[in-house]
Amino acid sequence: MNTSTSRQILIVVAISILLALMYNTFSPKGLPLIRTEPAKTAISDSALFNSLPPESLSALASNIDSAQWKDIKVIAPLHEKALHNPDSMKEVVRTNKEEQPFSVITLDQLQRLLKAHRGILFDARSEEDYVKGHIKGARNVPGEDPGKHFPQFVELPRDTLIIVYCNNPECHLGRSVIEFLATMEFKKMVLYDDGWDGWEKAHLPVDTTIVKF
Amino acid sequence: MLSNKYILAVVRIFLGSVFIVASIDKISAPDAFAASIVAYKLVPYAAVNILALVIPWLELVCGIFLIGGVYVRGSSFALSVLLTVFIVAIITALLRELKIDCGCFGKEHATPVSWMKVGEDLGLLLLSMYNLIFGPKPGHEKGETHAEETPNSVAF
Repeated sequence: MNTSTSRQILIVVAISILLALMYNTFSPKGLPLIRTEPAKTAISDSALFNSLPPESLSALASNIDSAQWKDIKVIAPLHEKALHNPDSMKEVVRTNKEEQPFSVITLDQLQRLLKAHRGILFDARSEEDYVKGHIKGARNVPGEDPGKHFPQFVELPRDTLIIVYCNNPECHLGRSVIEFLATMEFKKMVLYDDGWDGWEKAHLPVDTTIVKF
Repeated sequence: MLSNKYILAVVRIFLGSVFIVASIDKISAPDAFAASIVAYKLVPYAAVNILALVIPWLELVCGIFLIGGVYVRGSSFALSVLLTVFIVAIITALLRELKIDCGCFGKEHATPVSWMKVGEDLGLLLLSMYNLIFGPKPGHEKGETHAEETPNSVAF
């Protein structure tokens, strides 16, 4: 390798970095240059189970199954904005609420919630993964585009306990669903952070019945 | 034979196209590519975003240069380094038995890491090295020293 080749390499790399930074500055999907670890707030059993509404949510869950979903027109600028561009709402959520909009739960807490039929379970993975197998009763809301399910979510009471899981702690899809729901002002959200990998590792039953949402 | 300019041109246009295709999805969804990088658990958390932003652009810029026949050696070298990094990353992921998306062509075409992927990347690395070794020597390359003066020889 001679100086000319190294000059070429320098130019190629410099152009790429410049374009990347310029694009990132103006793109609506821009990332912060330094990535920060997502905050993980665990929740104590007492806080989790006592904060739930006394009535069983199983009735509510079965209502969702039978409900006929129509296109609902909602005249709410915040919701409209969230629907069209969930990313733009992140700032609003962050400035409105100091604390994180969700807590992280353990496998044990998840199982107890499911057993008691408290809350509604959402699978944030892709449809493909969901069809292959999921936790029993989970509804699929792929984190790539949670806004697609806006009409369904909008009918749920905002204090419904939302339980979300994805593949593993590195998966961003679960957080994407939660960020979206936070813009819709859902108040009680928990993330099963170990996700599908944790579920499989514990050799828990795999379900393939597709639950409509 | 190996330095036949037509073979060289076919190889660099093929290589360029592969990398342009690979970069588009990653550029349009940097958060998804960042998540793919995180899943490999090789890079310090703070550095992930920078890599997720720059790598796809490096692929795109090198791809365009290769197709345009400009800065061929520099681009081939950069891509060879990238491919080596990818190969090492995928092999370590396989050895650690991580069940993760390769992230190779972005989230739209998600494929799990596999020895197949290692093979593909090795093939690309071979082509890239071939370009680096037999490609136009600096100084003789069209547009290399006169890129600034003759803008029509530049791909974009």
